[in-house]
Amino acid sequence: MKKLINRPEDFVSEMLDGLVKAHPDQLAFAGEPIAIVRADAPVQGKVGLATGGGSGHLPVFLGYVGRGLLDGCAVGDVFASPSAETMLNVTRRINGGKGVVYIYGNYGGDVMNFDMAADMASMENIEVRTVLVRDDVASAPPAEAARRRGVAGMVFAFKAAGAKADAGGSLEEVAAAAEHALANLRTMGVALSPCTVPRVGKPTFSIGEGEMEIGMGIHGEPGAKREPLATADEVANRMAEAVLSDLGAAAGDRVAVMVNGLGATPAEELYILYRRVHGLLADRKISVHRAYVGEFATSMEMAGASVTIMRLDDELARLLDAPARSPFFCQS
Amino acid sequence: MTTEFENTQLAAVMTRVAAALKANQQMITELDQAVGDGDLGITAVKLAETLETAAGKTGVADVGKWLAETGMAINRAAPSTMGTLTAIALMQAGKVVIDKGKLAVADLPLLLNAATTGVETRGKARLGDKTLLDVLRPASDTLSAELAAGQPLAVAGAAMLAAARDGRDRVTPLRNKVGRASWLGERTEGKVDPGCAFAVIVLTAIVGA
Repeated sequence: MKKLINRPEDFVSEMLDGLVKAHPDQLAFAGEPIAIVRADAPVQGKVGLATGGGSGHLPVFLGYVGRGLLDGCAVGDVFASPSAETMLNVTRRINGGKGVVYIYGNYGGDVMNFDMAADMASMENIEVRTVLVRDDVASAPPAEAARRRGVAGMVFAFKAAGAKADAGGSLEEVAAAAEHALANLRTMGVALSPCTVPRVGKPTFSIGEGEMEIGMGIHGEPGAKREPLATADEVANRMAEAVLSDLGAAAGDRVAVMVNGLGATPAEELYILYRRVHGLLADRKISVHRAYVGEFATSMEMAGASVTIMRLDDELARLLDAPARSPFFCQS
Repeated sequence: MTTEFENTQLAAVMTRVAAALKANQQMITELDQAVGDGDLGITAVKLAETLETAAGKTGVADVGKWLAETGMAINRAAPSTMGTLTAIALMQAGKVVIDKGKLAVADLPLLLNAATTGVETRGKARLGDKTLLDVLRPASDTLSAELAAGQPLAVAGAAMLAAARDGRDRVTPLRNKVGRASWLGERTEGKVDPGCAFAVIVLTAIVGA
């Protein structure tokens, strides 16, 4: 293991300490050093938005705590869920009187803990709605879409719900905005190399020089299958075609595109991928309203990328275009 | 055969489970890396540390509260999937014996059944999905049946362990149908489910075999 860390067990706490010290105007701790909220939380009269999940994915999850985005985040150990109690602490701190929407990825530990937190919050008269992100087309066939895991597409759901909450939306409207975004987006990824969980000290899987994992997630886990490494154009086509076909996208559609790096793939390669995705969309007479190319949801130092495509209507385009600001995501 | 257990005996069980989890950390990590995200060994160690702390609280007056509070402490210390399921199992088991000063032999099948049902309900898995439920459910049913048939605890415990191991081995050829491992599809066939292995390790340590 070759990492710039101190003790592996301090990885998360020291990362959070550094983050809050770097951005004291934007982020604060809520009751415990693994609960992160907006520095100005709670925003009275606004629906609160919370997410949570394991560490190791920055900017996901806590990187989207900010104006026009989320209000709080429960932070777990690397690739592990935070506790129900931490989620409850975040929920209490961000409730501005209109209730709280949870938006997070479909992972067993997170679902059980958020469900327990929602039960406890309701006992304190805080209304909670839950929106599960299940955007990864490679993780289950369409007939079993409810089983899919949540990956980079969650960022668009954060953005849409955050904008809706900022515009004064009700609890139901904010949850519906997130669901609406998710119903119109899909993601697929490929990995070229694994990552190492600091406390484990060894890579999550081994892979040959000339191989790639198709359809892996964001936890350094193996994907659905392994194949010989292909060119950027072939990989981009493969990901974009899987996403478009699952989405049922058609000529005349307007979309937002995200080409997301998994942590160790340089921006240059991401733009080479984007170039082909853009070309494929143009060939199919699908127009790109906005493109996001960079690191949005990573798997520590994993190499590889994912493609997310969200079909837009006027409402989603408006929500996506609204201003937002966090230490990791800035759009005016 | 004693019909009631001293709190020191329950504490000794917690200590044994902690030691077994620590001893098997590497094996659990490797199983989880093959089909999951490789954090199960870390979870096992955190569980072990929490159990060691809980084992020191032998002076408690309410054994149910002791178990439930240990569950909550585990949720704080190890909220990963398996940690949360373990926490739920202990909290549900604790509810069955709330307000009791000591555990009796007759409580044991009720505890295991409550723990198993908690895992089933919150974890949303069914038998055959290749999860720890495939170990817990047959183990729980066997323990209940053996004790109801008048078998001594040692015999019932051994039968429970046999059912647990059989449950683990029976689902090994199958594909994982829920959770992280399910995303690997056919690649999970023939691989020992880490949750099943984990459950067998814990039950074995509880029995003290």
